[in-house]
Amino acid sequence: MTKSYGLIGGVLVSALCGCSSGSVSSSKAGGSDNANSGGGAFGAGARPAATGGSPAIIAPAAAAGAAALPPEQEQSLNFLSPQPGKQYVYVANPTRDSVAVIDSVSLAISEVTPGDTPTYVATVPGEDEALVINTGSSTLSVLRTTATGTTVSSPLPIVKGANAIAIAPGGAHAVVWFDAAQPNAKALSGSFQDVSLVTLSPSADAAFTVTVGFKPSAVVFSDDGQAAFVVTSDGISELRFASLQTSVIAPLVRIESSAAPAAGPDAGATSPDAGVAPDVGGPSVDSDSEVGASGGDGGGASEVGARASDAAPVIADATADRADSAPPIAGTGLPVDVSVTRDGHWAIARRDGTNEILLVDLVGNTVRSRYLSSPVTDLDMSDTTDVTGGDIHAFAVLRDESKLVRIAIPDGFTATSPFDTWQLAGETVGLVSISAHGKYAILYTTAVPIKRLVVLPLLPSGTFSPLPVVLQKAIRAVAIAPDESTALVLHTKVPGNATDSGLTLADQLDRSYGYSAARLEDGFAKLQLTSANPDPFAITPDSSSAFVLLRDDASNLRVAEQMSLTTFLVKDFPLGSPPNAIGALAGINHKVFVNQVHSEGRISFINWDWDDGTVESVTGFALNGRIRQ
Amino acid sequence: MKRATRLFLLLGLACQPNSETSSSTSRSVLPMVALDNSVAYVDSSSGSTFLLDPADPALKPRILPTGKSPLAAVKRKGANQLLVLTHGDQGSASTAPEPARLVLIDPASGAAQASYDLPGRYDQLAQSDDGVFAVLTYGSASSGASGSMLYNPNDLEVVRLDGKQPPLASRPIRSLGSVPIGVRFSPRTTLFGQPRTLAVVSAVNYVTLLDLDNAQHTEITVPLVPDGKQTVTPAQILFDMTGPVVYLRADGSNDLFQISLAQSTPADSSSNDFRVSLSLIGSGSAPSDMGMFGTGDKMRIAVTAPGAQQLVILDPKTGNATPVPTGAQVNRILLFQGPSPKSSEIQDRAMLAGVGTGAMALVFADLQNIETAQGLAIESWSLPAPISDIRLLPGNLALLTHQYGYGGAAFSIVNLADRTIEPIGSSGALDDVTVETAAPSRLWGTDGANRMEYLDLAGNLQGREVILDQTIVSITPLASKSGDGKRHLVLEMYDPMNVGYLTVLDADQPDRKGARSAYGFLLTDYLERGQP
Repeated sequence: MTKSYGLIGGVLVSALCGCSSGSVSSSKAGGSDNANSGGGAFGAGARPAATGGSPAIIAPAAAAGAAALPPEQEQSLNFLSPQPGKQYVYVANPTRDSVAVIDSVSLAISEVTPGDTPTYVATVPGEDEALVINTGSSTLSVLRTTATGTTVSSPLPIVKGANAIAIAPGGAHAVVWFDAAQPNAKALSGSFQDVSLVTLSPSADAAFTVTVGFKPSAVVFSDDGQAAFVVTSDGISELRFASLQTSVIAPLVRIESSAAPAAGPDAGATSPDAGVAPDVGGPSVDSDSEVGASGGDGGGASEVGARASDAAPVIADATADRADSAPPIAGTGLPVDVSVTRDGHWAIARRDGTNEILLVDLVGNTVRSRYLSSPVTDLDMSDTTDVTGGDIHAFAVLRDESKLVRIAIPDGFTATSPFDTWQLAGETVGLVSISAHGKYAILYTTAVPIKRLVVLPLLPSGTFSPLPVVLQKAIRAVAIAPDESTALVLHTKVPGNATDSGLTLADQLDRSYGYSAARLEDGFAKLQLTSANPDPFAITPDSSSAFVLLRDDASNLRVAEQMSLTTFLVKDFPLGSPPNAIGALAGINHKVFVNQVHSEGRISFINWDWDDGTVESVTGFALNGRIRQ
Repeated sequence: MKRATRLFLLLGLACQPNSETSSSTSRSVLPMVALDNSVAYVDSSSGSTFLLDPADPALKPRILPTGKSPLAAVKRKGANQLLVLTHGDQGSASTAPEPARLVLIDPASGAAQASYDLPGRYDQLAQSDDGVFAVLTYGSASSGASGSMLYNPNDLEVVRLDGKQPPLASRPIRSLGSVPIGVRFSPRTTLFGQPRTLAVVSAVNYVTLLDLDNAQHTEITVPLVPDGKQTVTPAQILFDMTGPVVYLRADGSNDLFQISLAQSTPADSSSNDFRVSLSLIGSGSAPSDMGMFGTGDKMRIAVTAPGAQQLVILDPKTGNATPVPTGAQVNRILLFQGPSPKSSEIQDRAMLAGVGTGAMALVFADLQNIETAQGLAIESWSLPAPISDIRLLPGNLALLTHQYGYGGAAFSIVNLADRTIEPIGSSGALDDVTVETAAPSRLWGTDGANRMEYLDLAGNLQGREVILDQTIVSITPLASKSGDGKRHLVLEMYDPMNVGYLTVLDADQPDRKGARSAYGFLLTDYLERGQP
């Protein structure tokens, strides 16, 4: 449920405005796993012990050892989409060197020209403040909108080729970097190891360059917004803002990029598939290689160069304790699914394609590994320390064994610590999503067309009763509403026409597009078939509704469909142009925006209150920007 | 002026309530202006206005000086008053200069009720439907006529004619490289807590919105093209004051422009208390006409796209367009509410026609559920001849004017409820035709000689004729009764000397016996008036 990013590929499950990271779980592609197949209900008593100790394995994994399953798939975020603020939506128009600032209340549009080729936009959550990367000049502009208009900061020099923006909670800092995994990422000349650290202040915006590990893929923040952790191929670079006033090489907690060879027997396992392996990894001593590769940033080269002779402050004594009973699965997988605790003390990751999970002490600058009994196909974190008595756990999915493993952070990564295991007999699950406040874990797979998911209540403690939810179609993606009451499930479609004669109802459903809403409390689910692929989608911040966009240019289908997450009823909003992006505004106006494909720019605002449903559209961003009022 | 041209102007002006009047100072007498129960002539040579009361047995005009170089005279809308726009006189060594003026004349008293000295020599006059506001502009090709060596063609004058202060507001409006080509006025409505009339000033590639009740506020300039690579000329404007939204159709654009107004907090005393936003609504290929129907969420805009032979139904809330094939090249739309042969329910319906396209079909559309019914909501009828004009008449009737030369069919009367089409033949081309759209809804025409024909459009459609002694140029039925208790018909007669020649008949009982003529009345007191 906390910030969770892959070291490679930074993918994000359909981010929803207003949703916490609980509904923004992430992972990317496990390696080649041993197969699990088949569905079926939970066996009688197939429930793990409540907590603590090592729950017994109730039933064996279903059909373990069958044919290899393909990787799990999740959706990626479109950075070029309009970005919502509280009342305004920001839409970059690189070809006109402008950003359209659209007032969701009055529909007035002002066009600002922040710099050369403004392309990437991110908004400070809940505020009408946007950061814009001007790719033509490698600068960043800060747009602040009030009732009297939008001010544009003086362009701040940022790293050349930057295409990603991460904004800290509270909006006082941001990190701008080049993410090679972005779909529109262009070949970069210079360095993959420079990021721009931006301090946001209406009176004194500032930016300077910091050198980090190789090829940043994600940036996560501590809850207080005072530290950023840059996930790189080398490890995690720490940016603690209070101690960074100028260009430096950021401290790096190195994480080896390949799994260790086979380890020794478990030193302290309390369950057959758990334990902590003896340390077989030596200390990770940094060389100057990062420094040597750090030149060439667009805006801070001199600063970096000034520190080029310094030794990189990489943690020299980072260790990896490996003492699990399960032998490490050798592989070259890179760390993925990185999550950071709210306080910024700990991070977890899994080694792609292996059975290794990592615990990174971001304060003590150490890395520990733990080896589970089969490859980990997904890893997520639950951090409830924001409430009294809360705790932190890592959740790892072992698809080959139909297991969910819960490991306490940090204690579960010591040699003798036990961890919890849920054996989900007969289920094939490769992914886990933790709800916003840790109330539920949802397990499912996108690797094979399994028409089920499993809801595992996590709170209150002691009531862990896995609840299978039978769906009518296979799963493409899952998102949990911020209030943790419902989940939206997007389905896959098998090739073929659903109206062909002679098909069974199941075949017809398989060949149809659709999505489902599932009530997490009791597993009630409703399938809603659609005339086009429901994508993308959004859940309103108040969890009252979900919206999916339906687009089929061949049949002129252009619809935003709203589903009440209270009644599961739907209603359609026809659109004037093909929709391509949707998001919810954070303000009190209860509006979602639907961006549409139109040569002059087109956006519609829909009031999500079920009994309102007002739709207002505005077209012609450039024209609107030229209106003189 | 050729007679055919006159016919065109009559029809055209009747179709456009906000139409402007322009004139050339080369005419010595401006076209006759029909007031409620009298007529007026303005002699531009002498700067005099001649008011004739048809009830006057002597038909002797009352003459009052109006101002030098009058160039436009129109009836004030909503009032029995005459508006005369003059250019004044720049003066010389021997004569004092005279400012340009807008003069408001009350025919009852025969005196100028108000006279507004103008800061510029404007030559176009447009007025709101209620006659409260007049907007004066320079014609785009009027540099010579303006009488000023240097002038700003984007300067305009807002005149309040209802006596409220201030009566004048000079408004040089922002230009995006063009000049005003037309002004349209919104209905007077309470907007954002205040009664208002908006004016939309059209120019090539942009329009300007003015809040006439707060003329000191900044104008709002709305571009219609993102750059100068294309030319878009505003052609038609509709106001939906419940939105409030202004819809604009423009030649050169396949989109309708939706200009929405939303209340805002003014930044200062010169700012408006509303802002506008613009949306483009795709409306098919080269939209030629549009009309609004329905209310609330059901409000739609029907647009004709003759090139595609489609009627396009637009949902302005969503921008969704539903094209409906019409099977004919229709380019005009007349909306009406009424029953149909299949349903007695009063619903929104439309009659579509191809005016000037050569199409010999008339199309009816039942609009209420047309987005779902599509082709089932369309019904097509054949016509005896192509159409040159269409207009609605009282009593669920419509009049089609046919192009001449198709077997003698001159007009057709369409019963919109029954969808029957009654052709009206003519033995020859009519030279001047006037249609009274208000009851008793008569059609008046002349053959270009001394014969006048008329028929009751709501009656048995039998023509009756009146033979006079001289050639009839135009026929003007007055709207109200005069002091003699009669409603009069004023016929302008052939007058090559331009001295004033008209004939007066009883509009309700026109016959030769009751005809009275006045000839040479523009020379009344000629010597006393002092000619230039």
